[in-house]
Amino acid sequence: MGHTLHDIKTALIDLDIPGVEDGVRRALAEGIGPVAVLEEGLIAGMNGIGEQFKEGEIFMPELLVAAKAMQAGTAILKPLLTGAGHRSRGTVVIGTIQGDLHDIGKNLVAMMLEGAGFSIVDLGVDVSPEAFAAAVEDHRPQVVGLSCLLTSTMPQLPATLQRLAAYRPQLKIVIGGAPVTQAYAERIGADGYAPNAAAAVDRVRALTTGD
Amino acid sequence: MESRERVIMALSHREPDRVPIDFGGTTFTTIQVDAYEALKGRLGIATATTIVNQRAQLVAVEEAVKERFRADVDGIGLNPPAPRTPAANHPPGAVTDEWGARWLVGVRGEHVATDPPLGKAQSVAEVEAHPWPDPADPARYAGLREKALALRTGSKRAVALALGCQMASLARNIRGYEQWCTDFILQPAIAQALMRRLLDHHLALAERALAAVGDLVDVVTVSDDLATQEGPMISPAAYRKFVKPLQQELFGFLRARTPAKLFYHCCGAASFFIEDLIEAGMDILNPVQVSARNMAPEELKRRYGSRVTFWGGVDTQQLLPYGTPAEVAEGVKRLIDVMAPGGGFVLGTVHNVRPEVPPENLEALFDTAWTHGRYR
Repeated sequence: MGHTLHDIKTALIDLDIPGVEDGVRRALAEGIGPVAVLEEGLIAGMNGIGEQFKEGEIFMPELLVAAKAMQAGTAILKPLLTGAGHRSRGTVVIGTIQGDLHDIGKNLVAMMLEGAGFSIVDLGVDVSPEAFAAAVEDHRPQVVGLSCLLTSTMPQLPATLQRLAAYRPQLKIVIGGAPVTQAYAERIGADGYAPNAAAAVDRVRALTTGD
Repeated sequence: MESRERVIMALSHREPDRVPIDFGGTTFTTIQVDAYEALKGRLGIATATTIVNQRAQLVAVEEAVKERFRADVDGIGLNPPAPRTPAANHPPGAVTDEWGARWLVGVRGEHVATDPPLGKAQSVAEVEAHPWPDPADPARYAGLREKALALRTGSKRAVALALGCQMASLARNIRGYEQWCTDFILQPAIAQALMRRLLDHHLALAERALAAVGDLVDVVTVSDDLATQEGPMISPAAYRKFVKPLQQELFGFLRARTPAKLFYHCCGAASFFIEDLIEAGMDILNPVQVSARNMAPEELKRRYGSRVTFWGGVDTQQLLPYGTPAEVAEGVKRLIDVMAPGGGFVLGTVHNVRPEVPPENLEALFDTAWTHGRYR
C-alpha cells in the first residue's frame, strides 16, 4: 500500500504526468481510499516540490509542470472525494489588486495552495476592494491573498485591508508580489507575507492551523 | 569633458571626470507621462510632451530636461513597424502588436499580454506558420543614418541605438507565460523553434540597422527579462541549453558589425546569469535592480566590476517613489561610492520612472549624481 502512494509522490516530484495518473489509478484499484491517495501521494509530492523550489533547486517551469501533474491526479480523484466526504484544508480567496493586471505570481500561489489541499477562489486581476469583500461574503474563506507587482498600485493593499476590516481578525490576509516586503506587510497590518509561492503555502498553513 | 567622452571612458573601465548620467537615453531609462508632466511643472518647462510608447505611456525626455539633469546619453531607434490588422479571434478591448501578441491596456501605462496567439500550438509547424513581421521593411530604417549623423555632429552626448532583440520576452507574449515555462519540459521543440524564429528576425533587423549606423553609435541596447524579484525564471540548465546559445549568437553577430559597446537589459535577480552573459559578449548590464535578490551593489562591483559596466542602480521599488528627497540623495551617494571606482558605471533609474515618483525626488537624484559624482 505504501509503495504505490510513494510511487505517486515520486512521479509528481519527477514531473512525470502519465506516471502520476497511472499511480493514482493503480492505488484506487488496490483499494486505497481517495483521501489517502490525495494526501499521501499528491499533496506529499507537492510538498516535496515546494521544498525544492524554496531551496532554489527548481524554478517556475518545474512548479507549473508539477501543478499540471497534481491537477491530472486530482481530476481522477475528484468525483470520489466528494463521495468520501472529503473537506479541503480551507478556502482561500486570491486576486491581483485593483489597477494591476499581472497574474503569473498569483497563479503560482493558487496552484501551490491547491497542491497543499486548499480550495481556491481566484478573482483574477484588477480586483477592487469591493470585489474582494463580495467574495468574502460569498465564499467565507479563512484567508484572502493579495498580489501586487506594480509600485503604483501598492496603495490598494492597505485600501483592501481597510475594506475587509470587519471580517478580521478571524479572516487572515496575506500579501505578496515583487515590490512587497516583510517590513511593508507588518507596517500595513497584513497577517502574513511570503516572497514566493512555496513559502506562501507555509504561511497560509501556519495561519490556518487550529481552525 | 564632453558627455560622449565621459561615457566612453566609463564604458572602457577608466575613470572620467564624473559618473555619467543617463536620463532619457534608452528605452529603459525614461519616464511615464504623468510623472514627466509633474516634473516639467516643477522645473517650469512648458513645451509639448511627446509619447513614444503608447502602451507604457513613456515619453521622449526633452532637451531642456536633459540639460537640467546633465544627462549624457541620447537615444535613437528604428521607426515603428507597420501596424497589424488584428486576427479574427482577437479579444475585445485588446491591442495587437506587430508580433500578433495581444495586450490589455490599463491605466497610466499598465499593460499585460493576454490571450497569446500561439498559446494553443502543439507543433513546430504552427510556430513556423505564425504570421511573422518583416524585418526587411525599408520604412523601419528610413532616416536612421540621418538621425545618427545629426546627433554625431549636433549633440555632445553619447549615442545609444535601441535594437530590442528580445527572444524569451517576446516568446512569452506570443506563446503565453505559463506555456513558455512548461515548454522547456513538455514541448522543448516548440521552445527551441519559437525563440530561434525570433532570433532569425532580429539578426535580419540588426544587419540592416548596423549597416546603416553601426559606425556612428557608442552603445547598442538589447533586452530580455529572464529573472524575477527572487531569482532566475528558469533553471540555469534550461537557460544554458535553450537561451544562452541564442544570446551568444546574437551578441557575436552584433559585435561583428559595430565597435559600439553592448548593453543588455534584464530586470530582477539577474546576477545568476552574469558570468554567462559576459561569456556571450555583454559589456553593460542594465537596470541593476538592486532591490532584487543577490543584487547588492557591493557584491556586484566586487565580482564583476572590472568586466561589466553597471548602468542604472537607483532603486525604483522603495527609494525613489517613497523616500524623502534627503533619503534619495543619501541612497544615490552610497550607490556612487560603491559603483563609481574604476569607471564601469553609468548612473540611472532602475527602469523607467513610474507615475508615483514625486518630481522633488528626481531633482534630488540627478542633482546628487552631479554634485557627488566627481572623480577625484
